[in-house]
Amino acid sequence: MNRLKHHLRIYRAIVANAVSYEAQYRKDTIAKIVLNLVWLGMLFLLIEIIFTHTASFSGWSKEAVYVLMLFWAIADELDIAFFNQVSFIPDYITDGTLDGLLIKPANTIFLATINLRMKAVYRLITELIMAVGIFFVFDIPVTALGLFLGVILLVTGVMALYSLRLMLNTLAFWLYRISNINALFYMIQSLGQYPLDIYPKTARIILLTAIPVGLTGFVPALAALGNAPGWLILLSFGTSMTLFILATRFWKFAIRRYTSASS
Amino acid sequence: MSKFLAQLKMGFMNGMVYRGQTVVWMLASLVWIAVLPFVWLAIYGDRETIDVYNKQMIVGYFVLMPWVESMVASYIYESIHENIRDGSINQFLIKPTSYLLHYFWDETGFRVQRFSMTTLVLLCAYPLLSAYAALPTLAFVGWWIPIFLIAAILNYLVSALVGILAFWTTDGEWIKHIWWAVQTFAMGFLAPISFFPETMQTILRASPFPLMLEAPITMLLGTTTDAALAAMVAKGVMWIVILFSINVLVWRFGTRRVEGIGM
Repeated sequence: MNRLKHHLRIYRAIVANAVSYEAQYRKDTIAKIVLNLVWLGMLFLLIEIIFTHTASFSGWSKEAVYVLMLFWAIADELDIAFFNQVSFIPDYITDGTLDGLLIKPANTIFLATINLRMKAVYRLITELIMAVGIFFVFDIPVTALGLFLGVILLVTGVMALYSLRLMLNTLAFWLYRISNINALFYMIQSLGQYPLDIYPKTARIILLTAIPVGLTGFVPALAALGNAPGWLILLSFGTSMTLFILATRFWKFAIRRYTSASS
Repeated sequence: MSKFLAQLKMGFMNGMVYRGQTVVWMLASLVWIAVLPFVWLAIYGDRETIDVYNKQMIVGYFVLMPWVESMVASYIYESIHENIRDGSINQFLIKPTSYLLHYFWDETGFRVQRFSMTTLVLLCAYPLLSAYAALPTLAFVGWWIPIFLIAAILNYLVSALVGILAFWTTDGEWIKHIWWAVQTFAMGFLAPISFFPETMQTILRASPFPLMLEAPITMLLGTTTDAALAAMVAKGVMWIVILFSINVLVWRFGTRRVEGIGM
């Protein structure tokens, strides 16, 4: 319990620092929010283009695809807001910053991977507002339980993303210069912004288990719309938990074999 | 000329030293093959064609995309942004060589390597892909050199312009993101331009963007005509003149803003 309180105190300091840092760059923050709206506009334009050619996208209606796309975008934003630090692990290793984190009296995974990007939080707020707007404009029928389940599954999906990215970046302990692996990961993540029904069965299984990008948009959207079967919900929880355990164990394995980059 | 050949050699050798990064970038561009054919095949449903593209041709479109991209794409805006922000551009300004030509030849060396790797991967995968994807046609082989050359030069000029704009911004990330959003739609990464609504098509065809990726692919697939290709070449030359002039002007105004420190 004391350890948890200790880390919560550290995180409170991280949040305060993040807020004061971003307050210095208000124009930049506004520009990033506008840019995010442009990016979301592009995603929605893609949906509109798809539905000029078809009335049903692998059994998904236009409204349902909007819901899926929004869940995916919100999951992506949550990942950036809280766990963007994971992308810097290769740099920490090569420039020796990790040494400083290892000697601090706090959990190393926490220090190396957890942060707060206020710009992403502001973008998240705009996306949530947009999500509410979409639900009203399209009059999408959702229940409170479905929405609640969708949000819970969204969070587990983000944990799965975090775990996978942590495992990939932990490879830097052996491969060193792999910072662009995060660019590859982002491309793979884009597989999850479409209904998984469009992919062959083998790909669907992979995208729900080994590379669980389907847990960020597809599964939460199904749950919110009241269409998620029980086994899929259980699979989502199970996959996230398994990946998290594997990621933390892999990190500890890497740390045990780490030799400092500096003297 | 010998200094530019030396730069080309350096660019190639840099790519060979960091082979892991090159492989990751190549894999990232191959992800498009994994995603978008399935998206569009789901849209096709029971239909055989959309516009002039049957199912095999649309799969062929995305299979050819990384190969064409490896020849024509330019990412020098990353290096230019970095040089301007950290001040290392100063050392280039005092050298008796063109900064932008330096990066053109440097990137060409890297491009040779990227093209070789992508060609090898696609040749290995072709026995599998040929059952589902249309093969490139030699019907317009006489147009290959001008169309590819125009695509590469236009990519380079636009990329350089995006990079040079960093003279006026403290943070160039938003410019890059806007460029990525624009090129995803406008260059044909998501679909052939003819799949878009009429108004969008008219606007995009007036711009240089379709010439930068979609034009070479449609030429290879044979979904165009000699007259259309001649018009593309004429339009491409016009845009090269316009963009080159803009680059020269923007570079001239931008370098006036540079202040050397410690010199």
